[in-house]
Amino acid sequence: MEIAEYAVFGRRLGQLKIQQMAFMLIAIMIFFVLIGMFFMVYQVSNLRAKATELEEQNARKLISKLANSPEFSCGRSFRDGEVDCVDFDKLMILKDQSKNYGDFWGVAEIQIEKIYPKLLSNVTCSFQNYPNCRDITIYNEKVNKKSYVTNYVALCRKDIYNREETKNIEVCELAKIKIRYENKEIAK
Amino acid sequence: MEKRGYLDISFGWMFAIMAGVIILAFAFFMAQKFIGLKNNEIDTASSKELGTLLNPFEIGIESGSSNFIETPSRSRLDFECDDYGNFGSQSISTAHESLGKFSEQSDSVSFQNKYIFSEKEIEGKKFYLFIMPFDYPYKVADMIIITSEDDEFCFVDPPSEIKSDLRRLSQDNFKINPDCSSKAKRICFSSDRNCDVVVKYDQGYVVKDGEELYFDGNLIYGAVFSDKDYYECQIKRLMKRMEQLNTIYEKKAIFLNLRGCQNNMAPDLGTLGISVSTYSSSRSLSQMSMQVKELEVKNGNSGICGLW
Repeated sequence: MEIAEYAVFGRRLGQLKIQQMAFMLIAIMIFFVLIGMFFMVYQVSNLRAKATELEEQNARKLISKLANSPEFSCGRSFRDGEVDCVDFDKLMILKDQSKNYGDFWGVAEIQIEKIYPKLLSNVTCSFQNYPNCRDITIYNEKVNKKSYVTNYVALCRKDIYNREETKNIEVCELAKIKIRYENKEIAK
Repeated sequence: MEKRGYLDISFGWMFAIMAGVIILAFAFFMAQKFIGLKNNEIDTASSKELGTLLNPFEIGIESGSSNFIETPSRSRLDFECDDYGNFGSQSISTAHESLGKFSEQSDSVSFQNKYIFSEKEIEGKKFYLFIMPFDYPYKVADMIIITSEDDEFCFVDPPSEIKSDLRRLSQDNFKINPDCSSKAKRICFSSDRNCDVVVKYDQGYVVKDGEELYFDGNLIYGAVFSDKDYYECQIKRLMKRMEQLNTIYEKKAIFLNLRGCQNNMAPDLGTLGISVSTYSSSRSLSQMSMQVKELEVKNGNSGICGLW
């Protein structure tokens, strides 16, 4: 081989090696990027699961707290109502005022459903039918929601006893307080 | 003789080394970012968990009791208060210590229904907390008072009510004089010499860093353990919630009257509502105090038709 031909051959061989290496580097980069992407997807799903778990944990703890919060609780106005007692009279007012509360409780829906004594009709409470009604929705956001988390409470109100004599009495019934969270996974 | 450089490295090797360095630098950068992100995720989750953990403490039966939260490693808790909107919000962020260095403060998690009284930033591994109800005259909220085990508080000559509260709480970092260590922060009730906080109990204010923080009832604990601006913001938030509750009770009074359960509290609640809506700073608490006491008496006298 002539010297000139040898030089050209050597240069081509060098270029080929650089090209080979460049392709190899690109392949390695793509490989790592793919691994990175799989890892990120896995991490994001883990994060979402963690968020859901935290939210559920919060729901379980919030449900018992809610009945005892000042907006709901009987306080000392009912004889037997210090814990897990919900003031029905107060709820009727709160229902109308709940727009001011917005995201205050951090849940998408709060409902109270009377379960005992059982009513024949499923009537939603209003000032017209109070207290002969079954359920009352305090707050309801129009979003996709998860299933209900519930807790049993005493639903108490002041009433009038109108038989031999007329007197004010306290009436307590059994109810369920139900909350629902927004289902963020579907929303996404 | 042909002259050659010091390093006899082919272009291929040089290229590979440079590319390798770039790849390693990129990988190192990404790993560092990832560790930072992961730390932030852990701390943000911890903040949320902390907020969630506080829920059971706030149930009525837990009021006036002390408990603690222990973190896996030394942590820094940061509390922020914002009085914007109908209720304002309470934010919590955390950072944890690893290899002798604190991670960056996590993203803050906000709660509208929590009222934490504390210094704005506390550090430690164990955090004591106790709950005090804020009744004014009806229950407005539960105040959560958080302190670090690193901070010891020495109560000098407290009045009997405070002494009995402290005994009931039996919190390890609360001591009553003379059982205090020299590093303890001194909270004085009778003298103001050598004190970090001076409580003018009968006048209803606390002097801290030369500033006056006014209180009524259980708010004394908020005033003693919080920074001035933070305390004022939390009281504003409490007043915002009180405004909503006041409307509920005022309407409940009218509703009960219509249903035959007579009480005459609606006008007084209306007057209190005006005072609450014009609240500006803790100094106004003393003006409200009289109305609150009157309502307390009226509610007690309403018998079965009492509102709270």
